[in-house]
Amino acid sequence: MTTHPTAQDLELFVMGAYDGPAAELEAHLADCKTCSATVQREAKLELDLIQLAGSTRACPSCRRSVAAARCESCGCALVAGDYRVLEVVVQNAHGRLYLAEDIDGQRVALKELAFVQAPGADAVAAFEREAKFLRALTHPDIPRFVASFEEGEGVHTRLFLAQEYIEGESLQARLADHWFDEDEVLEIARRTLQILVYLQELSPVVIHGDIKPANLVRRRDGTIALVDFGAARGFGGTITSVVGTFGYMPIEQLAGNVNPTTDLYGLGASLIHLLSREDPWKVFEDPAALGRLNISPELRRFLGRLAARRAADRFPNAKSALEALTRLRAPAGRRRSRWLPAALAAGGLAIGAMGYSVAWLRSDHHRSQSTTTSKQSSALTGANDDFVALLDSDGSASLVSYSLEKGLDTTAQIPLPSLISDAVRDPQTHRWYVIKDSVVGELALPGSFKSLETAAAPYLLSPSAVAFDTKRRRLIVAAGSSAEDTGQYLFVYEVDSERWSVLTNLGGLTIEALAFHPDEDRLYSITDAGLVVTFQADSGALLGVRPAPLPVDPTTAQLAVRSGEVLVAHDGKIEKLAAVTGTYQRPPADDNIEMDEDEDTRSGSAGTPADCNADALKDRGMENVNMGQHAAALMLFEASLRCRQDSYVVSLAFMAACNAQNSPKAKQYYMKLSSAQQLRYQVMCIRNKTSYQ
Amino acid sequence: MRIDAAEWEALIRAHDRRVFLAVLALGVRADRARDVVQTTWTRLMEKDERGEITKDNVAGLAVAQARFLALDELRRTNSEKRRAEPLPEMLDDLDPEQLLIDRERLERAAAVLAGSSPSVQRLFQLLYAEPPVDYTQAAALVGVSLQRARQVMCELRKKLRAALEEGSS
Repeated sequence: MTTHPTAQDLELFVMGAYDGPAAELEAHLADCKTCSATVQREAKLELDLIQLAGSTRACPSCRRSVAAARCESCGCALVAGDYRVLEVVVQNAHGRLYLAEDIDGQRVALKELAFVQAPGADAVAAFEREAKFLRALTHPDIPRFVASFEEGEGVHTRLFLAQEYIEGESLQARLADHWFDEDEVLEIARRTLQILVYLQELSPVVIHGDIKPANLVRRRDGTIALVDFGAARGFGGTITSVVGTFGYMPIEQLAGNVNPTTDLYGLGASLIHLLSREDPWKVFEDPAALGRLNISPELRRFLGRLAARRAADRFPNAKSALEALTRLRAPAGRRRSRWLPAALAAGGLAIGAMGYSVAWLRSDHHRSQSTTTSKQSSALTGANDDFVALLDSDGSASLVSYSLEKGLDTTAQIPLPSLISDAVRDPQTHRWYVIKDSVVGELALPGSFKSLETAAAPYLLSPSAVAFDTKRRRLIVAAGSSAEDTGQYLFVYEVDSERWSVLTNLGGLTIEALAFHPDEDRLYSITDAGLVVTFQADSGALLGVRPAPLPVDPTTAQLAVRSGEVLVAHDGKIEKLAAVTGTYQRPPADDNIEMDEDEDTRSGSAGTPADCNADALKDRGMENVNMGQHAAALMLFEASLRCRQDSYVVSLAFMAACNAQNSPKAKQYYMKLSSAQQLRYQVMCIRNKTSYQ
Repeated sequence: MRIDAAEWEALIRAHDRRVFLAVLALGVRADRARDVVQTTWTRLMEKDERGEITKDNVAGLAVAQARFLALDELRRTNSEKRRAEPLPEMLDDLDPEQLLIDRERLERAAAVLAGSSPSVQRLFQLLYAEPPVDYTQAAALVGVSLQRARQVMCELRKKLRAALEEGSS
């Protein structure tokens, strides 16, 4: 190099960024004192800059240079206690979760809660709760408690919780570039359930309360760890705050009720998320979404039960879920059995000969938790005066002849399989459509059951009632679409074209009995809250809501239409619906719902000031929420509010209105919420597509 | 405990440039500076063989060893001017007054650095903090072109130089 390099070349050379011929430059420097002096000067500056970099550290969050223990720009800690922060794993309004190391290089997950951001009592309680639970828990798949400490004073107080750092990838993060298959999901379910079994065998039972893909960490060896116990609870305590993640917590958790099935719901929602790659609430919203998943019917059913909308429909605890999972994973030949005994064929033939439609009393798991008397009956339409009724005695079912005039003729009983919960007959083809073991299918005589839930069918969760629309030749099925709290749907199966579709969203109602009225072209139903709800048969439009008489137990009642009259079978007898009298409950007041004419004849409306007990009404409302009966829950919350104003009950009323898709009420209660409550709860209406503003 | 080959490789990668700059800053020619650095690492490995050093003090020892070798190099090249200057500089580190001045200089520079954009700060940290990365990697990590990374750092050096020299001018 004969000419002098530029000053910038010399600077870049010292900086290590020179991309020209270095050997030539160095040869020039060997002979040129001027350029050597420049390089010497630049080298001194470089040493200063290295020293500067050493005296500062890049903020783990915003990457700015920081010379103190905390970044002035974003507030992220660089040092906390004896821990050096390496990176920010996650952060929210009230704190951060760091990956940090102690002086020995031992890595910990360091959770920080900052008071300067004014966390609510809930956040502080969650922090302390997590420390408390982690101290008490000892399980290889739950992070070990390491230390907890406090820094700063007053509003600058920060709480820290150091726990074992689980090295791995959260299932939420893994979703970004990984497609989960059925086997993998089953393994995740098994490992997570094993952790839940441990938690549920403790005394008191520990409920994690926030199971979601982000809190399930997959280690390199494929094992699963459960992290973040900030929402954990001991089962049995009174809870006044909602902790958890929307989409992964069942409806009752929103109201502060948790039980061992709460975590099963979260697990089910998480597994559905992994398989569908959609937020669970989106899957739950689309009746066909779960049905479209490329998974076995057994897994679909298992997931449906894990994440059933109603707590009663879920597995009672993790142990039973794990047992069911073990059976599910067993070889196919061992997990299915023929359900139809020879006696049914004979019974079926006998029914066919009678020429009646028939409904059997529900005796499957769907009803197993309801209170039943030793003998109950149910019936559906018949062309003649006689009915075929069912007696259910200690779980076994049989057919008997029944007529209004003579009553039951128990001399010729025909035994039936006990897992059939409802049935209806197409009078034209004499085909029987039944709900058997929570599967809708056709009972083809003699003696075989063919599921109608094909790949093209929507996902039917816990179908509860069937009716046959003789006018349009289609089967109507009341069922959930998902494990979410959006209530049931009326599904339609066109028997000739074998096509499924959705007739209507029931908006929080749960139907227990269903019948088609050919003269009125209406569907009559009884809900689990004892309401009689009618729909237009062709469009599914809601026509009316009428309180059913209290003596009718909706869990065992059946509806029938005969000679133009709607009959209800309950408690071993059949009565005309119009003739039944009793104490009525107030139906939900919705501008879109036509009230029946005899509304004024009601006596003892819930929540009138005369028999006012705000707490009792609120509790009854909560029971309805737990059953997924949001319209009835709203009614009770309103009654409670008429007794006594309570902001908590207002928020419950708002959520119930959202879930019941009762827009006028949602708007009314939204206005009464505090801004914080509005922010917290509005998602309920958004999810349910209920206008609230 | 002896330092194994992989650890030596990591140590050299982390500190080699700093040692090279320390030698250059003493006025050693660039081509000779590379030899000095090479010799420095060799000497340290010999000390390690004898059990005289630990992994934790390698960085400081490397700079000290390189300066010693650089001064020897300057003496051998018979540069009287160079010989007089470096020795006091090595002793400056122990002078409390000089330490205070150095700290103030660094504080001024840190203030300038803190006032620059987050991406510039990140680039600076990547290039100058341990473990350092080269310009190509740093540019990729910050999301700018290599040319832009060089340009940005030249601009930042100019500001930092001004801040560091503020008191002495």
